[in-house]
Amino acid sequence: MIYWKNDFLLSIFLLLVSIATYVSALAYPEVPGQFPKFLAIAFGGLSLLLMFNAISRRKDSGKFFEDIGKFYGPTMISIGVAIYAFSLKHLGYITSSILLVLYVIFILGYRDKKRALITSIITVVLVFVAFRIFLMVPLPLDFFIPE
Amino acid sequence: MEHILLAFANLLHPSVFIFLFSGVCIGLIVGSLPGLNDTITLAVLIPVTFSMEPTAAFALLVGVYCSACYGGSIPAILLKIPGTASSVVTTFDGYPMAQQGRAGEALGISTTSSVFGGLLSSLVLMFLAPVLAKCALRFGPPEYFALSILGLSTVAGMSTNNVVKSLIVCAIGLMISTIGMSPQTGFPRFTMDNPWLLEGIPFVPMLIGLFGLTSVLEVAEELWKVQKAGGDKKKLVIPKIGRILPTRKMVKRLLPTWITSATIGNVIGVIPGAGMLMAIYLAYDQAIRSNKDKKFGTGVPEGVAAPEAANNAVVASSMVPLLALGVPGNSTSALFLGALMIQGLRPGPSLFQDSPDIAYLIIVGFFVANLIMGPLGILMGKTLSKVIFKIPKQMLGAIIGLLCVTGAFAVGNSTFNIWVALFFGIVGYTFNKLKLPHSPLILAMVLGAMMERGLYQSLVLSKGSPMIFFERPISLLMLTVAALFIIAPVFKYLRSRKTRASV
Repeated sequence: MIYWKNDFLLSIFLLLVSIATYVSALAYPEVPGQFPKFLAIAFGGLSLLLMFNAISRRKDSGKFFEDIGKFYGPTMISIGVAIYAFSLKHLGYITSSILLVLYVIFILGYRDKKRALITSIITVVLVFVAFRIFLMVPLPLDFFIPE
Repeated sequence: MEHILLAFANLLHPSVFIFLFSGVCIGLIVGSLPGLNDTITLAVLIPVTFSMEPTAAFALLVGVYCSACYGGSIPAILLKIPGTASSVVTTFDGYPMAQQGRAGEALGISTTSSVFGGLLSSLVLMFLAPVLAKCALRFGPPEYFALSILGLSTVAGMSTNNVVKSLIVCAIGLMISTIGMSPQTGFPRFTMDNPWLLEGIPFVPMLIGLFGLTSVLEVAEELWKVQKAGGDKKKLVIPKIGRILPTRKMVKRLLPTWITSATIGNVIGVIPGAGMLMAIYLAYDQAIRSNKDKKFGTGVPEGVAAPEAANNAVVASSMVPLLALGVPGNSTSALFLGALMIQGLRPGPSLFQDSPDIAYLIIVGFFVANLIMGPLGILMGKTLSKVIFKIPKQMLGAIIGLLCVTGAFAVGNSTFNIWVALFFGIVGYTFNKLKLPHSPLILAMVLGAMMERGLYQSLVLSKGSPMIFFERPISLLMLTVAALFIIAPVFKYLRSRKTRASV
């Protein structure tokens, strides 16, 4: 179920985005700025429509989401991937990927540590071989792998 | 005709055929795994195809796309768990059939219906796409502008839920398409001085995020719910399967349903933004109307045949607008757009002129993949259903996540693409929570540049007069159809209000 407050907040956010887009486009020369300005106006109009639509349903419920706790896993995984993107160049592909796979497995609730470790090592090595050797993608090397 | 024969010869060469065959096998496996589908798999596979020969790459992708849709029906019938969204309706009659000890019959009907729908749609693709592409070669900027308006208007016309939300997603997609250098002047827009953004948002990492990483985030939420509920205590019991191949009498009985449903699937598939779900519900509804004497939902064979013939008919026909006009028919065909771009090919009418070998290989690939899918589906059906639920979802989620980030990195050998994939993964997940559809976003992103270029070039041609769009017959026709698509939801709304008022 989509509660009206979610749609209302979304419409405010989108309206702000449309204003920001329009203001940014004002700084551009005429030709490249025209299309984004037109889009920003249309986007703003649609955001207002969504806002009215949400307000018309305001008797539905006062809640945002039925359970905020469900966002724990997705948030933690997003943070994990962000850290991975930072660490990839420093730690190398194999180390950072094994850590990422292990982290995601545990965040998703798997508790068998031995199996998780074996799975992560085998998967990462297979993916590394496939991409680095067969597809010749220059994945960042770890300190223990010679150039 | 010689192109088609040549494509058959190319495709049947062992070095290419092996990839098509592998694609069909992969598609069947991922289709049967709930939580995985063709879009996620293609998003993960596209970076892998980067350094492959184009013929092998497209054979693999066509195989996956073709069979994943059918693979979803296996757990839908045996366990009432649709492997893909396109098999939701198959559970209505497929599962009751399995419970009545007719699991094999249901699987057989699903296989034959899918093959029938798939073959018919590959014939539509084979004959319609080159003709449409030939017509499109005569398109000028006003026609391309009108085409992009038509493409976007179908989103409004075909929207089954909230039209405003679909339009908002379209607008977001169009705004994203303006990031990067302006197509007219090369002036950088919304790049925040980031050189990676000068050529716009990288398309493939965006798709990887939108489909691959979003699915990992969804799995995380789903498993959290299972844990909160005290774990998954449900024991899955696979029913006895028995004879799979349908009898001749059954084939004769189902033939009218196959023809009607496959036609519905083909028509819906060709319309950009219409989506597979609409096709399966329409086909099922039509089957109910044509068989009023039967009680649907209790194990009626037509209830399995209709959605399965329709969803596989959407597959190849959704490639018609992509190959002929450069406009993706749905999210999955948008991934093919990414695959074509990654191979340095330009989708649209020029593809048939510049690279006819690839264009026809894709077309013929759908036909052959359907022929392989039939016997392979029957052979693998029994085994797959026993194996698929033994893989822990946590492992699967982590492996998909790893493939997504590695694939995103591989596209441009840069961590910036991982950030793009992560950003769009979060966007996709948020869209799901707010019931915002994904496909208009991709369609608008693809059409945005075409629209802007068409608009400016037309206005330059006409010295600023917008009448140019109404003076050319093809452009006028497309804009008229677009107007009808936009007006349709308004009429639908007014009619529903009138009906409610009269009750």
